[in-house]
Amino acid sequence: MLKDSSAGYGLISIVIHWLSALLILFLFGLGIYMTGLGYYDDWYHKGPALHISLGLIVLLLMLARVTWRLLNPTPVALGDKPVQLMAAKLVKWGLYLAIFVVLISGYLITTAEGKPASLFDWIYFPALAELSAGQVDLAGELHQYLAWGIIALVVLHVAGALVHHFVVRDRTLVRMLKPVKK
Amino acid sequence: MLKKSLLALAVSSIGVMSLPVLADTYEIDTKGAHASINFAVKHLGYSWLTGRFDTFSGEFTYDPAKPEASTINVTIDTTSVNSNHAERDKHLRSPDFLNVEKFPKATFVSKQIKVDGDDKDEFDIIGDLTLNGVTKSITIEVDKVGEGKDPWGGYRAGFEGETEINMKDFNIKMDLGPASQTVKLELHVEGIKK
Repeated sequence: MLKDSSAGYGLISIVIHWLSALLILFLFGLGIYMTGLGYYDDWYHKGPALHISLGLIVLLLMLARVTWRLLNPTPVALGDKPVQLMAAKLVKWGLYLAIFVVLISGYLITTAEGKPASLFDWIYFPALAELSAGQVDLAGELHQYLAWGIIALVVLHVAGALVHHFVVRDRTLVRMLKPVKK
Repeated sequence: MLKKSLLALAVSSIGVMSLPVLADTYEIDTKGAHASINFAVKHLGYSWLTGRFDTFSGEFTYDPAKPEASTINVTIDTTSVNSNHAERDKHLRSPDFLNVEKFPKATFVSKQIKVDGDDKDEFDIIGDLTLNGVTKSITIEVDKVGEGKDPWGGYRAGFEGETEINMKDFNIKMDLGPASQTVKLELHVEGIKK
């Protein structure tokens, strides 16, 4: 029920998947909204603080997900066309990579001057590296462009899931909704 | 007769012509960091937010007997803007403020020095400030702090200056609110005679 098996995902993986999905989409919207705010807007400070806190939660979720992935058998991908399987794999790896780069670049910007990153003023994550001005700007560009990259990959990922569900008619999408029975 | 008088005119005019001023050239001591370009902007009208440009260089010529003949030019590396806050500095470098990717340098070139009154150690420098791609004439009020030999075989002269610029004049897009339309620039310059 909780653990993954080669047949499908357990509850923990499913919760992490959907929780990350919701948070990542929300963070994308919040990022665009807050960078367009004027100095006197209510959310000028609240927006970034929330963005950082939720980003830290996604970082923790991603670390938990990778750990959990390594501790569990990986569900076998459904389908038999090698091209499709490869495409699905590439999109998945691309998502992992892009999400981590966006999370790490965000973390580095926030902590660039040695100040910790605050998770709702409750847990403080220490600075791991102090960045120069040029490095902060580079991290900012990576953060912004790869965030759009994540959205592009999400579109492919969702399209793939829908094709599996409605065209191929296999259990790929259902497997991510219903925990595997042991 | 005509020749003679022309010659006389030429000779007499040499006396009238002022000799070229032998002002000394000084290099601004940025290496030893005895110079700073600081700025201050009102935060909401309740306090001053201060910061500085860490990297710049420049030269000036100066003759204490004739300060009005002085010149100065300074080049500022806008990417070095530093307000002790990584995210704000990132914002200051962005197109909302200094647009440093497009305009990595700001310059000031003096055009004219005006000495008001008897005190030759107080003067106004009028010159062109180029910032964010916009060139505008500004006036810097300058006080000489002092000059003389340093203990290591050099000769130094130092000044402080202050001016205020309107952010909109330099096409700075971000609106920080009604109390924060201008930036105060506080300049401290020490030069070593070349």
